[in-house]
Amino acid sequence: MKKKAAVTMLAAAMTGSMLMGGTVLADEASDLPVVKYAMPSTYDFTDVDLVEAEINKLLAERFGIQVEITYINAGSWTQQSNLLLTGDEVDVIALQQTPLATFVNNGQLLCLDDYYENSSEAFKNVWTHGELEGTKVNGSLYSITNFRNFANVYNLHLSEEIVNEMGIDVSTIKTFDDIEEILYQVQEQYPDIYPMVGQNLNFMVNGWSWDGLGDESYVGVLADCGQSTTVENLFNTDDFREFCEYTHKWYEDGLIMADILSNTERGDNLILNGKAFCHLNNDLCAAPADGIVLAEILPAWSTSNSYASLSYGINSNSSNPDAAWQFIEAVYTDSDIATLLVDGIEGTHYVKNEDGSISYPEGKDATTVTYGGAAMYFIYPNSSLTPPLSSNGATFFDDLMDFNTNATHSIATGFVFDSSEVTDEYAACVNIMNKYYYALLDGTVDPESTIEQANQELEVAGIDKIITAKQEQLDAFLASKEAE
Amino acid sequence: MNIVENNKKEQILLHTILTLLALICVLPFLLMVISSFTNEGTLMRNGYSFFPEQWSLESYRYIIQRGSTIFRGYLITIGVTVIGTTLNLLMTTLFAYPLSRKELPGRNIIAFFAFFTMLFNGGLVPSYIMWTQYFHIKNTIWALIVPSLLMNAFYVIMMRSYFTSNIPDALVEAARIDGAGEYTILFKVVMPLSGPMLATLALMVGLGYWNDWLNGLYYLTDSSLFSIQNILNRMIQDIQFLQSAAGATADFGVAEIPSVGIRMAIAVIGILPILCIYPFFQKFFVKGIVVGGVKG
Amino acid sequence: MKSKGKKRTGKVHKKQALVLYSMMVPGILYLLINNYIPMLGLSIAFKKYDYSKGIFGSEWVGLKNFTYLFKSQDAFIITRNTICYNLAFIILGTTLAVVVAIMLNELKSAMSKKVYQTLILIPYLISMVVVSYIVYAFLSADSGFINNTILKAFGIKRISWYTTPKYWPFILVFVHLWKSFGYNSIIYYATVIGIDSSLYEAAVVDGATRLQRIFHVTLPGLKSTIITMVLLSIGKIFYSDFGLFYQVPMDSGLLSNVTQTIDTYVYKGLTQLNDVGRASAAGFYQSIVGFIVVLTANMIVRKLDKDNALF
Repeated sequence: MKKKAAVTMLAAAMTGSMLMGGTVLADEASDLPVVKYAMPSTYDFTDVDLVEAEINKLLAERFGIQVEITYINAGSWTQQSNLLLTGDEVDVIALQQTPLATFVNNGQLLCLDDYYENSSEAFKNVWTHGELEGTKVNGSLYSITNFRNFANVYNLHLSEEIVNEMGIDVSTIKTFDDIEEILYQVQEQYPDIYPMVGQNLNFMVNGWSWDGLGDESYVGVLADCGQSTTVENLFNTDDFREFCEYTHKWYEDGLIMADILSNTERGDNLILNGKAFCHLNNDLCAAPADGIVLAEILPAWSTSNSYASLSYGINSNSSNPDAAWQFIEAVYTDSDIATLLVDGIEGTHYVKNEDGSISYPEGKDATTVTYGGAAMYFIYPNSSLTPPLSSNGATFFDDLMDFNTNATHSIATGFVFDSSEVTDEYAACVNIMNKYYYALLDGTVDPESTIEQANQELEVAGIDKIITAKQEQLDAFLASKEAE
Repeated sequence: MNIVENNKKEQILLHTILTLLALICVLPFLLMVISSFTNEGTLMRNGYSFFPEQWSLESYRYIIQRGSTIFRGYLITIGVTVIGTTLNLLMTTLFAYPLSRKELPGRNIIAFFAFFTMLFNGGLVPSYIMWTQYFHIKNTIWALIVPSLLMNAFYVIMMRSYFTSNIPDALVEAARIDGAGEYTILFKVVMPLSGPMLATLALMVGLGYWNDWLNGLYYLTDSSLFSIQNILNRMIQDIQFLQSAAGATADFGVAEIPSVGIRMAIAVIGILPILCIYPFFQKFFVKGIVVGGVKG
Repeated sequence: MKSKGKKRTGKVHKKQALVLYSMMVPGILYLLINNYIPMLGLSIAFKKYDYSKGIFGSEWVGLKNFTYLFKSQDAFIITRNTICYNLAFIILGTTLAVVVAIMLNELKSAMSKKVYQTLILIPYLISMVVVSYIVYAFLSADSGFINNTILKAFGIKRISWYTTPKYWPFILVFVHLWKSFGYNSIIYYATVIGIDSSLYEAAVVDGATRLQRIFHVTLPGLKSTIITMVLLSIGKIFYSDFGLFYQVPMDSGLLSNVTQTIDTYVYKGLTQLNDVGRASAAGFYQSIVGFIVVLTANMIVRKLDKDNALF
């Protein structure tokens, strides 16, 4: 009996899935052009079809198009999005994890200059001129940035419990010397915990005051929060050397977790489980987790590629780019459509609160709701048109806009480095940076001698050629910006 | 008497060595299972341990809560494994048997034709374009069965080498003289003598299908078709992604990141069914019929 | 008798041959579709792949995609590592798997054969990501077993495994063997139990000891499988298991002189560039070298023992 039941269910599951595979294309009854839209997600929504149908009603009426939404899990995104782009399986697609210049170089994107010129006033009002500059490559617009935090503030995350026990005033912690003083105190009073750990995995902190100019391996950077105009080898900058000298001293004195280079846990988790006292972290405009207090070390600043690091573009193989652009206009300007796309259907997927924010339905949360991506608002094209989650606060999106405006901007904002003329050298240098960057940053090795060795290897690998190329491209970019 | 005693000593020695090897294999696995049942705080404070301070089912609760699809995933995996393994064994045997016949002209060329595919492959992009744009297997169940797994030159060569060394030519000749056709010879004479090899291949191909998640990664975006490995791997990938991407690019760091215990639980869920099935499967690993006897 | 047999097997009727060929049709078709057609894409290795132009429309660039593999100082290191690890894997892995297969065969109790077989297969089933966590559980500097339990018991100072390169060749070889020997020994075991048992009986009648039987019956019976397996692994000598060399050492930069292989180098060098052309150039290079090596090895086998050559 049992056996039979299992076989029947198996057969049902298999035929069911085969049918589903076949019907996707069949239910487009209308003649309107269908735009295929893909974006990453960390949740598994089961009600996508339901929401898609609602969106399509509005899209048909207001824009004369239809959409087919595909969520791809974020972990497979790089792989799957590149495969989608080999054909016309997608029209509008999120661009992230790979530098924008790479997409353009590979011929994966359509140039949007003309579409933008002819777009509606409402759309032109979404982004300022400066913000649009951020997603241009060689002077042409290839994608539209999305709404999220464009800057990072670098905080020290501390255990609230220990801070209270020791009576520390966190507002007095501003420099590395301040941190050092407290670390030694913690080491003495709490010998069983790590005074300091890394932000996550093998890194002390994700970025700091150097701007890689769209290159996350930092082969040639602008120091001083992107305020310098000279491209330098990261290992030669004072910013970096100073950082490493501190961390190395701390590491040698046992203030930093010995395993930092092979750590597998987030710093916050280590603090909340009573295993660590503090760590550095690049933060956005958001409150810390319960049990953690913050001390600002490096004020908010935005790197040159902050606009380009997540944006939306049109597949160069798209079979209907005009409709694709219509869809882009729709999700960036129409708040009903944007809200459906982000939050789903009111009453089913969220409830509205009096202050204008929204909450998940009773008994649901971000991971169990059948549709609703408000917790990943920063991936959608324009969540500023939608109500924020009550946990973030009713004014959250306004706060976020202020945060972005008040941050320091890298002088190279909008600059995109094109590595195609120095690819061989670049690939070699990336591997060398990989070898030394985290080891130095985490303080596990002596900065003086290691940097000397790393620089020798970098020189042989041709870092000078990359820096020269970067500098030339940057100078040209700055000159053209001035000319405007 | 001496021989019996000697035998006993030898058996004890064999058991000692094999037990040692088995322990080396099992202990890390045990550690993995225990970690999946360890309370997260304990894991972080005390590290991994065979005797954790505090046990917990939290990891499994997390997975079951998120993975209402796990049951469906198992069904899909079982179906794909059964269909895929059957087709694969059939194609492999049909391909390998003629290659093992020394008198067949051109067999070396065909063997080379198969072998060549083990060394050279066109890479992902061309394969993807072909399977999706010309065979339209994207988001169908075939995506999990057909690409790259349906037949593998490695298994063909293994099978051929088994036929060559274990099936006497005289036996095939005798059957021919009796007027048997080639298909009859293969299915009635050769296959029954190849039990251990067929079982081995079935095991390897079956494990290949069971463990495969690449096809799902490349050819499926529709999560309702995900096999169990795809579901588990999506969790692992998302965890890795959330960890490494929490920062300067898009900030996914706000979402909760599952702990190591959950990753271990995910692995346990993927492996457990095989460990339950495998002992039953082993009955096929019996000695083939005494070849000499059949000949007469 | 011998000459008669030869004469008979020497010829095959046309019709018989056609039937034999017909058996291979599904397999040949599959290899053509699954393997050979996509091989046209190998041309990408010589092109600057442009997504909007496709494989055939993209521009030829000659050997430009290959240069990055040889230009850097690391070229020697990654080649050396890849080859040396593979040689160690082939030699030690084959020996271990064969020995275990023979030991399983020599066991008397059928029950324990099953139990051992199941247990040694377990590591093969664990994915590399999880293996890396298990390895970490043993090697972690603060909470790992080896430091906390074993070294402590002997009063030896803690070792910072993930920052000390000299241990890693051994660790990686060990992990590889641990993960693969069970699976490989099952292949050999299947061959061993397929050996004609009348040969063993004859040996017993002749009064051969166990060891003599192993050397005169079992090993010769395994020879062809061993040669095949070794030849096949030689073809992969320029490839490496990405998970083993990237995830197990936790991508620790300080270890890269002993953990970096061609695959990890290509991966790290190209992630930001997403350069399909250079990626397939690397694959092409690995294949070509494997091809030449395996052809040479096969030629040698052919000279020594024609029946056991691959083709």
